[in-house]
Amino acid sequence: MIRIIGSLFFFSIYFNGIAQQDTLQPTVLDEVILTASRTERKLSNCAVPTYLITQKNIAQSGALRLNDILSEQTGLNISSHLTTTSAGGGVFGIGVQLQGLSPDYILILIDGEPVIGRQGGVIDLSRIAVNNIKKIEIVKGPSSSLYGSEALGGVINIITENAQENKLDASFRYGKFSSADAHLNAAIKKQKWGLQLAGNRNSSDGFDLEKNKPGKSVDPFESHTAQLKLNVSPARKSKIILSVRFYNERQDNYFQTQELLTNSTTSIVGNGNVNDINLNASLSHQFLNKVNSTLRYYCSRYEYEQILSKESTNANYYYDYFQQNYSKLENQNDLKIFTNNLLSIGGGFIDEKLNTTRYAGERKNKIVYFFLQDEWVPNKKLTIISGLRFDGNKMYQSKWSSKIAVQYRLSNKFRLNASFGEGFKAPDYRQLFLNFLNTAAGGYVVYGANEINIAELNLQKQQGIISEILPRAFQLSLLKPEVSTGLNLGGLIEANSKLSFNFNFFRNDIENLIQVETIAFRSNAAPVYSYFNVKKAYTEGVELNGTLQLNNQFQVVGGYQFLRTADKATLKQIKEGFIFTRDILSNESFQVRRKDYAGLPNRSAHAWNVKLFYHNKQRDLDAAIRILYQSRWGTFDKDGNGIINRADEYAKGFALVNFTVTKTANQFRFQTGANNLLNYKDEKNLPGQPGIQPYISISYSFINTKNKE
Amino acid sequence: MKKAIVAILVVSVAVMSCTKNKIPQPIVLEAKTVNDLPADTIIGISAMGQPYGTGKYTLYSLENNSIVANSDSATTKWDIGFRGTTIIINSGTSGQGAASAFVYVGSFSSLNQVPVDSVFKIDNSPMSYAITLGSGKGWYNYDGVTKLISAIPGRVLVVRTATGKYAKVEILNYYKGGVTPDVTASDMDKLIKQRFYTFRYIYQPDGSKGF
Repeated sequence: MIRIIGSLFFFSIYFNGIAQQDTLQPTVLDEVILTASRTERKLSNCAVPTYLITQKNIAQSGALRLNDILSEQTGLNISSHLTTTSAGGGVFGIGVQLQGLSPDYILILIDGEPVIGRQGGVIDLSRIAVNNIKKIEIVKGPSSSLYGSEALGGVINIITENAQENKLDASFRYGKFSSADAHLNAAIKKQKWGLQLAGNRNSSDGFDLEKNKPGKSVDPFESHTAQLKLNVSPARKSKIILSVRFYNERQDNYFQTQELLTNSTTSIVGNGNVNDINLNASLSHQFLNKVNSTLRYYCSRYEYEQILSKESTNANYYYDYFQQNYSKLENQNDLKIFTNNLLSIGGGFIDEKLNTTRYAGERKNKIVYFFLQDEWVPNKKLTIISGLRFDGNKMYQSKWSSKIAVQYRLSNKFRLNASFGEGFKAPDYRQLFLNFLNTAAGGYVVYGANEINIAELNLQKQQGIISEILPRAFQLSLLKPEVSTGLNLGGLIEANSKLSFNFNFFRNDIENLIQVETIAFRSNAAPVYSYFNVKKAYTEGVELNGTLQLNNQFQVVGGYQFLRTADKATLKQIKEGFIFTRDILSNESFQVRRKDYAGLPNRSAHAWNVKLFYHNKQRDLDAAIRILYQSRWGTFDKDGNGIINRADEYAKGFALVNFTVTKTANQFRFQTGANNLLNYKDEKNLPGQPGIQPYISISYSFINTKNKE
Repeated sequence: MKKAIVAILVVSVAVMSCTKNKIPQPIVLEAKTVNDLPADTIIGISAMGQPYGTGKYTLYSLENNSIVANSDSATTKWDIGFRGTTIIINSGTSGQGAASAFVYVGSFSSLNQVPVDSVFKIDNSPMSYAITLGSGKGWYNYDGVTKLISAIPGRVLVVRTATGKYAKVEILNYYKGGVTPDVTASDMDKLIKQRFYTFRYIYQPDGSKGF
């Protein structure tokens, strides 16, 4: 290891020498970022840990969906929640972990506006096609002072393309499992306006990892995406953006259920449909060269419907409908005060509506919020950003969120960043509105926090439904949002135009995590549950990233994340000697030691990636090979102590190797490649990983933009 | 260090051989293991989809290491009873006996003496049980995702039997064959194999609290 570092060091000195002869090219660090402070600034000037994925990165990797490209980034761990729905067959979707926080706590934005439609807490990243994406901005650490709920672990903002020039591109890709992807991008650019149109169709036959089991691991699906985006600049200082995006997905379900206690099986057929539409309008104008005012309206509707029936009799088996409506009106004003302050003041209303078979009746919530941010540059070396936001509503307790971030520029080549921020996540619908009697497993009842109170319990006791009310029931109250406080300390070193390096230490303390607790017993002795703010946890670690331009043709990019997490109550119990494990062979019990506790499940302690990019300008040839590794992670408790500590409670660590070769010829572009070249599979722990997936693709530009240059 | 251990061994062997014929050897208490004790195993699924058994407890005598007939439920012949995840003690609302029990935190082998400050409890259904009901509270954990029940390691049921003797009991497994089904096993497998207890215990017949 030391030898490797030594040689890297040598390399960097070596290339340092060469670099000075080159003319400086604009690097990725000069790219303008919007997400970190809601005002435009260079990536290198962001005081909070901010990362950028460019259109070029996406093209090089052959990514089609958002999860494809995010899976290749340091510190982003893709988790497939292939947990079946209560009826089976359903898929919650593919989410992303960030700084060790679950997908539930990561805010996903498209053009700055939230993507809605979480299933099991997860926004399915495969809902988002990346063919018309200009860039993806990732801000790590709590950012609720700017974005409100869900920005607890971080924010991923997908910026779609604006019309830059007249364009008409079409592309088709075909790969294993009959996976087909076609897209069309068109743009018209005039002096005062631009129109961008993007369409995508994506389908697959799905795949089956366990052939002996009926049904497939992933069922066949087909999805369509369309987006229309209009930019108008009626006057020099005014800007209007109008965007409509539509997404539709249909998945065909087929599986068998075994009748309990008999050997007969029933075949179930049906389908799941997702419809997602959103409208985004913004009007901005600059007054007096000092105030930039933006008015935004955003509305979105997400619909999910699953209909399943018995194949033999056609009788209804399961029906689930979920419709979420979200609309938001917001105003943001950015004011230049003196010469070195930029003040952002904003506020808005959010209106949410929910209609679902899961909870009786229509559910509504209104949120009022305002935020304030000051960006102060007292001198050339220092930037201080401070922010505050208030979110008020009726369904759960209101929340103030703050942030402070400092950047200190030691030199042009070395910057240090420190930030402290707060994040929160509103209780989800289940935690608020669930009213669920489980008939299959002992007749227990779960109530959302807004569905039950002590008076209702007393009434049920009088009616003989409930036999005993526990003391915990008297503590039922309006749920608080789950909150985090995050500390990030990092730095950015640009050794030269060829070599840059960044590091970031992070610590997130999460409180008020919501979990179910028993509040009463029913007369049949089955428990009655409701939700409380109880759990505390933390995640901490370090992230390192480096980019090295070896020569005109080769570039190496690498990253590493070390992560440690823990449930704080578990740590306390381990310290007090309350938690034991059982030896598999001898059945003897032993106390669990701190070092044997894996922390929160589904998290790898080590994750690294190495990517090698090749670019040959003369031959118009590109190649990219990416190696992505993650160490073992905890899956399920097996020794009965409820935590991950024993060797058999982990899934094996693994490496994925992805490979692409791209050849451009005139207006054509050919790409071939394979994801998971080593064909790594783990049926049990990676049900969404089908093994090697080779593909070929062809693109054509109807308008030759190259000749214009 | 090694030398010291050797020295102690030599001395103790010497002492043992001297005293061999003078004091009777204390009876070595052996741990007994009970395998696959059915505890109201599932016989059907109700129209509501709820699995059910006959609803009867399996009563057990720790002294005799045998099942006691339900017709003897109102006697002091049994000490401990099992129905699903519920464990009753022949006491209070559960039986005529004067048994009592509590859940000790620690390993089975390290529990050589019932601690003096131990608080033995009796059953007071439905308010409380000597062996607390519920996941994570008494002897087991239920995982809502895997739908599996596992015995919590480091939990020992300390029982004062119906006839006033002491015993320590460790539940090892809740499934047939003493093996918890795999996470990926079918729901049916998880249902039909459950409610079979494997446990081990040491019964102290002399009335003392040492094992």
